[in-house]
Amino acid sequence: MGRRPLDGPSAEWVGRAYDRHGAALYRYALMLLGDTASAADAVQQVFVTLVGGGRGAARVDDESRYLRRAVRNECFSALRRRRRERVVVADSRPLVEPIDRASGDPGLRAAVDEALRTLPAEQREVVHLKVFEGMTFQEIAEVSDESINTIASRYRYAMDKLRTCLSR
Amino acid sequence: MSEPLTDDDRELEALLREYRPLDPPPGLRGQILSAAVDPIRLRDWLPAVAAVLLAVVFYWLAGVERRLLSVSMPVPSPSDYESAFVVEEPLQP
Repeated sequence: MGRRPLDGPSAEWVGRAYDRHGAALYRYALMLLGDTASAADAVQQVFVTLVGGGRGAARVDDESRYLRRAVRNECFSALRRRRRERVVVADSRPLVEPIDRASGDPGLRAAVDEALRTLPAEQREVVHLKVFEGMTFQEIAEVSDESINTIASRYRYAMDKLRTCLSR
Repeated sequence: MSEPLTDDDRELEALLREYRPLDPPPGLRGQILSAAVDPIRLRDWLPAVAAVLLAVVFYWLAGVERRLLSVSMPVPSPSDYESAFVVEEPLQP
């Protein structure tokens, strides 16, 4: 990925960056925050901040990694705000949809959705990056600034909890 | 580090992989473009707009001042010119 200045990206750059990374960033934010409106807000905020001069980063080597990190920071800030202000977010839209919509069992989809919602954001993040994004524990550890052991533990707890929820 | 996956985990992963997180709403791209690009355009033009506004204000103030001076300044009479001539004449030793 080419290096480019972040102070004053053009409309074309924002459009291109969104086309390349927007959907993945939104899905990541959705899995962290658990609701569609907050996910859209987080992604929008990242691009607005980027255009407004960035957060100290003058240049970006790896656009995808930078944007993912920015979305992560934005989402965890939003989660901390929610906890502080004791905001409960209710979203009627599901987190996931079946890849093959024709053969999707609506009951199972609801169960998977519900099981994912029971996980804390940190565990849901690991499940998302591992299962839906296909990342390794090493890559996830780099994204989240945690050790591989921490990531592996989160994944283990998440899988156990998901299994318990889905077996009910 | 080896990834601690059991057969149960793989089965559960396979189940989860039949799903994917929702796609972003179709309007999000446009929303981001308008929110992200408009402020920078305004910011880019702000110094130019401020300079033009300042020029207009100073031009208007100068016009007001000119009008005030022309109203308050008395038209000099011919005797004023004569006295000025007398004052400027060098003194004789």
